[in-house]
Amino acid sequence: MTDFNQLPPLGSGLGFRLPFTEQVLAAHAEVDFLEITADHFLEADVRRDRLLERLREKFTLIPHGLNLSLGSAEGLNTGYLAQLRTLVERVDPPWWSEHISFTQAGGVEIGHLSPVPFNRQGLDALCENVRIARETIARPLILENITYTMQLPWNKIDEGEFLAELLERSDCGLLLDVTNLYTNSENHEYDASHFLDQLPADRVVQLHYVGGEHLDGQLIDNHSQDTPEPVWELMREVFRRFPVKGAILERDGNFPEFNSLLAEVSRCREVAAEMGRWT
Amino acid sequence: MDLSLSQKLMARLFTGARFRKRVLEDAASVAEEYHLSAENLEWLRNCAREEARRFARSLIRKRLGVIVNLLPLTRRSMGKQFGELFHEFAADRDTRGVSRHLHDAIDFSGWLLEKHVPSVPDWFQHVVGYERNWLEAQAATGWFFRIRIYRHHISRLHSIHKREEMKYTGPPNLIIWLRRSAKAEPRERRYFPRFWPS
Repeated sequence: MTDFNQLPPLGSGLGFRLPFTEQVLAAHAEVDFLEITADHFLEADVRRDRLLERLREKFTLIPHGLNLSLGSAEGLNTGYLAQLRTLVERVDPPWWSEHISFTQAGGVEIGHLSPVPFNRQGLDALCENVRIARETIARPLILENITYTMQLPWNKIDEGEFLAELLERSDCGLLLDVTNLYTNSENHEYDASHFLDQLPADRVVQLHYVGGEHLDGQLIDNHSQDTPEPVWELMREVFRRFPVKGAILERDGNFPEFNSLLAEVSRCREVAAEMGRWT
Repeated sequence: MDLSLSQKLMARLFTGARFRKRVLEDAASVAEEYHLSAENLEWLRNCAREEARRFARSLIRKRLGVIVNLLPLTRRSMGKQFGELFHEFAADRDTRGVSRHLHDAIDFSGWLLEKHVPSVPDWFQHVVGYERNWLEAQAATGWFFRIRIYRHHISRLHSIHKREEMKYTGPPNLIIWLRRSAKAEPRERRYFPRFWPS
């Protein structure tokens, strides 16, 4: 079994985005580590290869996959897994991450993370696919909770309970997306604290946070806004409960000035320090 | 419902406007094709009516958010038609692979070239073709070489941000797109005549 407590504390980091390349490289004193979207580096040309080396020189990089489809009943995306393996071996991270979701089925690529039912079938499919992934990539794997706009009628287990069993059975850590937790708790009217109660404390490794917006009557996690106060409050609670190793600001669009992103990264570090983390 | 079947149905609902329509208008044939119970068919119809439609719209919005940056001149020359036509194009097309957005932009630009797009300048096809060539150079997995001559200074349009000001004017230019291998950077080179009558 993996002892996630032994993983190095990385601190407060940023999801790397190409438009901010030079600012990120200049801000290595203010950003503790970077999360890289794996897809941006899997079919890299010379220029992208050089960029990866420049980033590696200055930061610890955590590869974050998007299309492994770990929740697919038909099996995970084997071509993508092979590409991920090459990237992970090159970057040599303390862990890598993917999602508790499926992205393809019946020959169709959905192009977005889709929910796996919280039931035995969903658990079995995820655990089998994670087993294959972990046999291929020999680094600790952490799994991210996603948002879901619809409750599947085949859900039989509480989401928190489902995650706890998944993490224990598959020996994975949790990438707790605090914004996703907040978004789901708002859209589906459940208590986020109760969700946190069910998580295995020693497996919450990394966090994501950012802001979304309301659209079509729902809160959408489109990663396009500043982190709202309720998410900061939830982050504070998470830092209090769990010995988290790192947190990533996951802004994807509607970019503000780069200094605004640094201010959020700094605030995250302060909140963690108030709760006795990374000090 | 079996997990594999439910995921196949969800994938089709999320990416296919025609399938959603069929579920709502011809549910019996869908039930027969997939051996669905009455309860599961009811779920499928409810999903197609609301949730899947919403999910599909957000998927297309997400794709559009990337495409506008891959086809900036095309977008500027089309105005709000760009988004409207992209929704029409994407309604029954999913995307594939790590370079999904690049291929999405290539396919969309190809679709625009075949479609009669109303209220666009008469040089519109040249702009779309120009951007498409550059995207194809980026997507090439090996040697790529293409050469085109345009009667007008097509790349001058890059610096114009208001659609009303976009005017396709001389001098003519020759453009070469080149990529030596999958790892090499794609290149675009432009050449202009030394003299051109004003």
